[in-house]
Amino acid sequence: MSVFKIGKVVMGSLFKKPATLMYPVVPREWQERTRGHIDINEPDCILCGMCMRKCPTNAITVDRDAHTWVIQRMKCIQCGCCTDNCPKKCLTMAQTYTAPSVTKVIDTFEIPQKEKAAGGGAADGKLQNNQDECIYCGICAKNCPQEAIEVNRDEKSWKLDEDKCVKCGLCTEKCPKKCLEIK
Amino acid sequence: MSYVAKSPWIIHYDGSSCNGCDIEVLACLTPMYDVERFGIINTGNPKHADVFMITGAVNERNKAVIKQIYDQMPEPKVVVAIGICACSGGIWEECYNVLGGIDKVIPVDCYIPGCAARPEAIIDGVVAGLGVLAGKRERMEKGLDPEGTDEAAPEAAVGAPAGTETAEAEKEAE
Repeated sequence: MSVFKIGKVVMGSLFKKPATLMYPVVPREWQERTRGHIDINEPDCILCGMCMRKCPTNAITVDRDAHTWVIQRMKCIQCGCCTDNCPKKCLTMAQTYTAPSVTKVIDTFEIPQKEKAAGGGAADGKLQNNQDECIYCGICAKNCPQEAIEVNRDEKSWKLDEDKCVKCGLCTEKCPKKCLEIK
Repeated sequence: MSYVAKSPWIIHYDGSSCNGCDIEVLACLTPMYDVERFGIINTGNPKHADVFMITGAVNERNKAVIKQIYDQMPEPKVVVAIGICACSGGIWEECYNVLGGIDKVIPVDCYIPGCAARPEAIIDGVVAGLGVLAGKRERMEKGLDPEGTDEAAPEAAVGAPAGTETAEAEKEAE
């Protein structure tokens, strides 16, 4: 009987597919949800800096003056905090892993300035508050990535620093009374 | 991989890693990724090793151990930092007891990012490291310091990406 057992193993070894993936020769196919590296769609970025503040490893630097979005590839842990918190959803998780390198790679992306101004749409309006409905809860101020909104409950005042506002729309989403609008 | 003239042996050291990257290093050695077909063997002895693979960040406790293993390895040698913690300290960078990436203690020749680093990335990174190793060996044959960067600039930095390209070209050819 042992002959049959051994024969089965031998035949199996001869005709079964090899267990090895043969990696460098056969490229790996990634799944849809594989976390590889962070990609940015530059025209959509409003440089609000939310990704920079949420990043647990400080891998991302957003420079509003220089109009750049910089990522240190050897610091990013692909947690996806930036993609989850990006108000414009311009950050995406790509499937291919970050390439190994002999240097510490730092990728700089130029964020186009003119296109944003001429692009039209909600991002170019002005944040407006319907003060008849406002309950001065302050949720907008707490969620503002730029700390552009100041709410005082006692004096029933709502102030916006227009220079700081990046029109990300986070306050309009969070407003419980829906009295905020970007027009 | 045909340009690899000698079988590079590796030594793997876990410096305060969460074991995620360690598991991936070991996955490379299992039949599934099987780097042994390229002659790569995981040796426990630094005196037999060409490639020093480190996972995890450096802290005060393992600093001396890393230095000792590095010093015991014969020239030429390359250091490969695996995972974000080994590359830069990662989420532990600002911890009071963590010094940062491996490059704070010994020179690192190749960085493999990832949390955890994927076996494919580790294989690519070691191939890039072998390019550096070849460059260092050439320098030694010329009688130069393998770690130096003086005259007859080592092809190390140039050789590594070229090596990766060769692997990719082979992939495409297949």
